[in-house]
This record gives sequence, C-alpha cells and structure tokens, in this order.
Amino acid sequence: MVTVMSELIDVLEVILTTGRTIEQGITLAGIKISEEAREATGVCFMDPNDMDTLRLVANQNIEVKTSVGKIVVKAKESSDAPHKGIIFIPLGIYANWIIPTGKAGIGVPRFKGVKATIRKTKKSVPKVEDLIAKLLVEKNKEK
Amino acid sequence: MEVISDVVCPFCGSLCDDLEVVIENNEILEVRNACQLGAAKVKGRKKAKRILKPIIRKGNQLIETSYEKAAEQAAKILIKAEYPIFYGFGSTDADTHRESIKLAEEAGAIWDHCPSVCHGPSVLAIQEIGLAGCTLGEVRNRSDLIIYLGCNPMEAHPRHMSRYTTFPRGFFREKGFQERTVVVIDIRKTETAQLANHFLQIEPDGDFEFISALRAIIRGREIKDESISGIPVEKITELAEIMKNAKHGVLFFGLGLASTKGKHRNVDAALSLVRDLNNYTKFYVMPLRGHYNVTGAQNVLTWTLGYPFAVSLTRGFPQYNPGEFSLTGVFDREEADAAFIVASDPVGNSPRKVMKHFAKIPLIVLDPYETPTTRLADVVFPVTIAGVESVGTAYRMDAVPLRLRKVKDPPKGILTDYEVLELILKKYQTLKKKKK
Repeated sequence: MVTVMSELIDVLEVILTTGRTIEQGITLAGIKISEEAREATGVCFMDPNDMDTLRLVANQNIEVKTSVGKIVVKAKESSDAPHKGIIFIPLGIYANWIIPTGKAGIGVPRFKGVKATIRKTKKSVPKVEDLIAKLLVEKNKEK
Repeated sequence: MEVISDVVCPFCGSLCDDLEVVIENNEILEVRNACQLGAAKVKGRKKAKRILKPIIRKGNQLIETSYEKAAEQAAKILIKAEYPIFYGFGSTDADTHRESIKLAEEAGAIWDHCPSVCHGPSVLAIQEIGLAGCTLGEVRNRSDLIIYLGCNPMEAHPRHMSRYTTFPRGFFREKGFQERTVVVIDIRKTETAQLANHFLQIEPDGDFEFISALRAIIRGREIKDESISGIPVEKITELAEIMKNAKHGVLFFGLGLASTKGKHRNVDAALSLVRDLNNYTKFYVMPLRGHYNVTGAQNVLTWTLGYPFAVSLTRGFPQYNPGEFSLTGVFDREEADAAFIVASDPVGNSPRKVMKHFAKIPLIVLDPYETPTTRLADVVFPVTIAGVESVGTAYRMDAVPLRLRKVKDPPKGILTDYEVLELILKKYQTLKKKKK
C-alpha cells in the first residue's frame, strides 16, 4: 500500500482510548512498580499514518495532552490499524495521569473517547516511581 | 512433586476452573491450562514485590510493625474519620466482602467497589432494563452466534473464546467453531476482531446510534442514511439477519460500550436490543467483567445492603446514589477524609484528581504486593493471595459461584484479608467502647 504523504504537522488532534493488554495484565501480578510496568503501560499505540504525519518512528517519545494534563509515553505502531485519529494507551497510571474525572452524573469516569493532542518530544518516559514521587509530594505537604 | 487439579484461576471474570498446578516444596513449578495472565498471577513473578510485614507511616518514614499495632492504627483512623470510604474488593473472596461491609457499617463509611471505574454504567442499565442472562456453560453448549461489542477478550479474558464461546465443542455444537459465527464490533481491529467471521469497525462514540439503527432494522424499519456510525447500512442489515436467524445468540460487551459517550444509555440500548431479539429467537447478553470477583462483590453487597455499588452507610442505613457515593464522585469533590482499600490499586487505576486526593488523606491498604496505592498508604497490611494461598468463594462473570482453592502456604505469619478485617473490627469495637 502506498502511503500518501499528507501534510506534515507538529501537533496532532486525536481521540484517546484506554484498555487492557496482555502485557499490562501481567503487571498486576506484583510488578506494578517496575521497568516492565513502564514498558507495558507507558506506551501509546498509533495508526502508522498518524505516525507519518508527525514524522514519528516507532519507540520515539511523544507527549499526550488532555484537558487535565500531559504525560510522556513511547509511540508504538498499532497492530490493530487502521484507526486513524485514534490512539490507544493501556490501562494504568500513565493513561490515568491524563484522564479527566468526567463522570456524566453517574460518578463513573470516562476512560475512552477523550480528546487529546500529541506531539513529538525529547523528554523521557517517567518511571512509575517518578509519578508516585509526585503524588508523595502532595502527601508530605499534608503532614 | 504434586499436581493439584481443578484449580480456579483468580485473575479475570472468566474464572477458568480447569487449571493444574505443579508444586514441590511449597513452590509452584508450573501452571497448566492457564493463559499468560492466570499463570503470572498463580505462579507469581520473580521480581514481584511482596509485602511481608505490616507497615505504618510516621512522618515520611515507613516503619515495620505487628498486625496488632497496625490494626490499632487503622481503627484509630476510622474512628477519627467523618466521611471514610471503603473501596476495592474485586480481587478477593466473598467472605472478605461480607466482613468489610460489617466494618464499614460500624464505621459509618461509604462502601464502593470496581464498577465505579468500570461496569457501573452497565449495572445502572441492568437495573432499568433487566438482563436476559445465561451461564457460560449454556453459551459453550448451545450458542451458534457470539457477538463481542466494544470488548477485546483476547487481551482481557484470554481464554474466553477458547473455553466458553468460540472454539470448544459443545453438547449441541459438536463441530465447535465450525458451527459458530463470531461478530466483533469495535473501533480498532483488535486481536479478537482478527478471529471473527465478521468485523464491523465503528466510529468512536457511535454505539448508541448504531444499536438504535440495528433495532430499527430488526423491527422492519428502513434506514435512509447510507451509513450509521461509520458502518454501511447494508452491513447493519446483514447483521440484523444473522442475529434474527441465530438459534442461540449471545452478546458480550465491555467498556467500549459502557465507558463511551452515552454510558448507561448505550448499555440500555444493547439490553433492549437483546430483549427485541427474543421476539425472534433465543438471545442473551452478558457484560465481560474484569477482576475475578467483582461480580461477587456486587452480589454480596446486593444481598447484604440491597444495592450493587456506591452505597453510603454514613447515616446508619444504606443509601444508594452512584453520582454521589462512587469513589470518583466522592474524590472529585475532595470529600472523603480517610480511605480503606482492599485488594485493589485505585491510585494506579483512577483519574489523576482521584490519585491526588488519595495522597491527601489517611489511607489503609490490604494487599499482598506493593502497588502505587500501598506506596501512598499510612497503614499497610500484607495478606495472602486468595485462590493461591487461601480458600474462598468467587463469582464468575455469569454469577456462578465457584470455590477458590489453596495450592500453597502463604509466607510465614501472613493473614488472609478476612482475618485482618476481623482483627481491625475487634480493635475498632474495643477502642470505640473505651471512648464512650
């Protein structure tokens, strides 16, 4: 298949969806704070066409931004493509870092179909410990 | 070397009960028949960070202590709290659910569990519409049409298709997969979709319109648009015919339906679709439940207090209001002033605003392993792994209760979730009495 080079841009508007993967599921067996967890959940699966648009190659880091924050994750080529304009981040602390509480009156957040933007970044993917450390700053403030 | 057979897998809601565990000197050498997820849970990972001593936070320091002292500290936190919340329970046994509800009642707390970040919308829709339900055994033996809508069991429930729905030979399905049709409707062509006979790629947030169109076509109405939610109307018409002509159909759905725009209204539409289909044939519907005993927690709470999740006991009697009493609701408004977490990692699994509030309040956690939640905790109780190191009861996603087996001894001195709860309850009652 020939990829028609659409205009190259720096920021791409996407729909963020989250969910389970086998690799993410394995981290529930006592390794949620580990390098394996970072590799399993600090990633973003993208349509190869979207990667071309951003001039991204697999395993480059991207910053995903939503209405409540941003997180750096590693871009991966999706094996479920085509799904242009849709990115998938496995369930975990990375995805939830940028998920709004959006409860729609029934108290249940929306983990799928969240508006986001992505851009290439030179920043590294934080470790799970780094994210916990940021939360612990809040804890220590309370003491 | 000993081989223990018929072990129930304590990972996902499929609760596969055909595992064989090979064990020698209290070490699991092999887990047969399990998927990658089940094997990882039962066998344990080499690098797993097991907690082996109760821990109390003093300032910035985490100090190892005894169960007695930790229980006293937990009881003090609960006595002091005005609006505590109990949460978790998806990965522990039914007796623990019951005991925790008893403690929550004494403490005047909210009791909530995983549907609040998962199938809560499905529960609400089921309460409104009802559920044409069946067991997974019936699916295995009878179903000739399997529909997966907004779910990816190959990643979340890896043996669902091979054990219950698609590939096994059944009593009335002797030719196995040759006698079954699988349809997947999803926004991505997932691993599950790649195994399907038909895959319909739907636009994000297009579920309600798609199901409504499908219902209309089944009722003989004409759709004037060329496509609905990105799916050509001719494909939807073809699906309607497949569904009406099935002998025994079943619709499984996941958060791809329940967590997208419309939420409980999407599930409402799916349940109504199945109700409509029963005018033509036998059709059933089932949510794919994630944690192995979330269905159990829902059942225990319902037969104990009358409601399925998000129940407040703060006024001394049960009140049900998901928007008000669900974990995310309570934490979004920063109302909870203490949290009691059992067998769950809500810090890792909730939106960041919820994580941040967890950092601000006293936090009591029962967990076998270190997680982002135990890292923020003020009191941590190590516990056994239910279904591996201790017995109990769990409810499969079709609400069939199964007995969890113990296949090995826990690390020395480690108590079960139930025993820890009993201990805290006793401490709570003693301290409360003294205070009076």
